[in-house]
Amino acid sequence: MAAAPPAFTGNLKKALAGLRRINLDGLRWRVFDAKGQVLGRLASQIAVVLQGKDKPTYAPHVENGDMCVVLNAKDISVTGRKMTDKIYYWHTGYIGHLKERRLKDQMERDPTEVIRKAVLRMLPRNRLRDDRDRKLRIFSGGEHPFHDRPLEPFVMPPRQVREMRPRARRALIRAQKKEQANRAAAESAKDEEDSKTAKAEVKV
Amino acid sequence: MCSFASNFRGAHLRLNRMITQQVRRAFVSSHRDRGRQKRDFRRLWITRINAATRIYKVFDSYSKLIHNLYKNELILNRKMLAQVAVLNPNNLYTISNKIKTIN
Repeated sequence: MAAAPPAFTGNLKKALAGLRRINLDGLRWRVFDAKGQVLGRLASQIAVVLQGKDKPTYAPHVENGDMCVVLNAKDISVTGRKMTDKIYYWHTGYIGHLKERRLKDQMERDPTEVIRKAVLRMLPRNRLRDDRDRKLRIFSGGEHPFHDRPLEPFVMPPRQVREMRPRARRALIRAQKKEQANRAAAESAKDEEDSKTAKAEVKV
Repeated sequence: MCSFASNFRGAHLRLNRMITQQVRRAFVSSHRDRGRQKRDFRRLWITRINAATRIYKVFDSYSKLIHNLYKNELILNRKMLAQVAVLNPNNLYTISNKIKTIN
């Protein structure tokens, strides 16, 4: 029993673009939740599903991947300093026109492009790549217009997170201690204020 | 040789010079690809078996399945395994379970 799904705000035309071209007969609709996932690791799983490599009936000349719907693209995370330091480069063809854009700016402009680029660059560059692109639907929020289809959530395989490097761990501990100190200072300041107001009330 | 080239395209089936060249190329490709065919199909079988083992979650991957197959001295080759995976998925499940328990 689901409540009426939230109305899909956003470009409905873009979301449904090209659906007619895809032969949707036996395909499943897998839903990936990108909230808190690491960009590249999620993208590689999506690429595997998109190619149909998780099906025993895989054939390299036939396009048999599932439809992939990615939600919460704006909550994707990256490790390290990639938010500010990862730069997307592209050349327009004119001499000297090598353009660049940082991850941060791209997320502000269009967060879905980040995941789309990541996945597309992981697919093999052949004639099926465009069809696979058409099967990938990415939404920056949590709403999507595909509620009437049989959706299956995709469970990411368990990940072995690497232990923090000593310097990073020390920095983390320092930051935590600082936060605790700040909080303690804030609480003590609040206590003083409370006691002062209490005294004022008593005097009055 | 003209009959061999009878389904070629354009000038490749009409002009003698082109026929000789193209027939030679066709034979070379055929010879080379007979060797490649064996490689390509084995690749395809491996991909399919990989996909199937990951579905059933008995083994984590193709590599673990093959390792256990060899440990138990099963002579099922990849071609058979791939066909089993496609046509008889339950059998693949029982095979891998059997291997795991014998282990």
